[in-house]
Amino acid sequence: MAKSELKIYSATSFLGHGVDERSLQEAARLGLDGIIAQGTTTDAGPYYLGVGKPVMAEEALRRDLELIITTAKRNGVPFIVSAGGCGADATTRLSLDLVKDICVQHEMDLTVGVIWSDVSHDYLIQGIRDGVQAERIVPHGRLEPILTEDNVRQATRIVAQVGPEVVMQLWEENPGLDGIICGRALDVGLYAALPLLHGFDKGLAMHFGKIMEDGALAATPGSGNDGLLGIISGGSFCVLPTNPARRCTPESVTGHAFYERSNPNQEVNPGGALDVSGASYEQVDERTVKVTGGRWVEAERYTVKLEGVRQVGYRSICIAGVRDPRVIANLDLILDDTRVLVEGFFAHLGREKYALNFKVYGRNAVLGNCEPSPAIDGHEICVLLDVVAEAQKLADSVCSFASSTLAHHGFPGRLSTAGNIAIPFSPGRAVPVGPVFEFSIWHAWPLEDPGEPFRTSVERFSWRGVEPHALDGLR
Amino acid sequence: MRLMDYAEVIRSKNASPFITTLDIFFSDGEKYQTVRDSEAITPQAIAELYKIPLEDVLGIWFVDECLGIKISFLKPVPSDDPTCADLYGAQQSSPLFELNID
Repeated sequence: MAKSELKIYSATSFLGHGVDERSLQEAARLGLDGIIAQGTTTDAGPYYLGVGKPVMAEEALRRDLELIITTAKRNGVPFIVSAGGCGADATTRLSLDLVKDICVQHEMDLTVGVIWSDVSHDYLIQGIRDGVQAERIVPHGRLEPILTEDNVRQATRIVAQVGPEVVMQLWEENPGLDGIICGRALDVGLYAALPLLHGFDKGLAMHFGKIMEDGALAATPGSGNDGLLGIISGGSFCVLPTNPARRCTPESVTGHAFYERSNPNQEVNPGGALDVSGASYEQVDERTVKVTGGRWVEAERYTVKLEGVRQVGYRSICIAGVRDPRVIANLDLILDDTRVLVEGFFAHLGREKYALNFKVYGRNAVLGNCEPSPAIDGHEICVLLDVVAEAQKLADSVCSFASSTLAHHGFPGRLSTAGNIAIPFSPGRAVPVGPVFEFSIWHAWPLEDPGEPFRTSVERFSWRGVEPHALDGLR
Repeated sequence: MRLMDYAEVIRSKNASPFITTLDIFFSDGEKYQTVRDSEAITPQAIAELYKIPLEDVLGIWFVDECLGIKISFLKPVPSDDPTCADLYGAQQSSPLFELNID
């Protein structure tokens, strides 16, 4: 039955950043229709998708899942979360293991709908052969304008962003679900799914999602580990934090809409775009803002965003402190000489096998070429030697040779002849960092059926089925 | 006076690994209007400041409702490139601090 009003709680800015228990319980007391949290991102870079590991610490992920799931179950409220950071199936599996633990600990049975977001290479290659044209989302030179078979083959792992339609379909087809856990998902879609299911206008539902997706970051004072209550009804919605120490104001709400977005007025989503240029934000009481006017602009075709990474090598680093004023004064000469000596030593391998990069903190490491004042005016600097090579062993060798050369290289006027750099710890000359990836797929994949690339399943967790000794260990 | 003399917040962040987005917020409308109307914040000024081609400046938006200005541009070096040292793009706003307004 479609409801004319929905109360939805956004539990945190990101699953694993922390859920405020008092705010959550206060929201639950008000009678909720859903508890939602997003927990996937590309912000932390391509590494996590490359290796299939969660971005947040497992302990933090478990704690947030535990608070959300137990509160939802106790109050008979559905939960919808995306989890695991990169969204790889391996991280979804990890989240489900944590849920199993939580069920045992709380003597709770749970039925969870799962949306797996890894997209198989075969599916994409077949699609490309059938003529699918997936355009890059950002016009960057590194990305192929149209996704190619080679792109797909070279990718270590590819995920697609689950849209609200997939969440809605899974929910509708499985009436017994306590909640849904997704891999990589469109953040906004998680919050829009329930309003869309209850027949609310798409512009309103997507705008609701946009404001709700980061919890109390839309409040003032903002917080990444506190929640936000949203009440959607008729043609508008209201947002307020349940924590009395915070409030929503039109500035806090619109200001938040800026965050990590390239365009404050329009946001491209699967199947269309949210236009908030005509939206209005009204303070209705001390702590509540009423929002109206978000408009959905339908696109010509439905697309999902693909994210894929390819491995570019392995990294090894050395952190080199410099205090000697003579070394600082001659730094460019010393670094140039070091590079020449490294290239000479490894000449037999060819230059394309490794890349050596010096980042000089205290000069222009952070801003690079656009540093407006690239002169060293401090008494202490740091040189980060960053080597990426075909193999870990080679990266370590190049880094080690480069750091020892840098340490012992002579130059005119050298006073401190025992070493040019201070290495802060051991191992220090070459610290293996592991595999290095880059985003090579950042494309919009057109679809007829929004659920086509995704696998879904229903997982049942019953604490009673667990061996007694396993139960003891977890209590 | 410089932008930092007017604004309350001048921040940067990634909007994807390929785009830097800069947000400027003001605590009062007068300061916001002064900066908005000064025409100091233009695609040309941003291209010059960040040493990027003019066509890489994706847009500048003045949002009166929240006294905010947003600037987005393609990163000269994407955040996942080995030569980039700011994965989240959170330290890219300082060149704007000193921008001359009047």
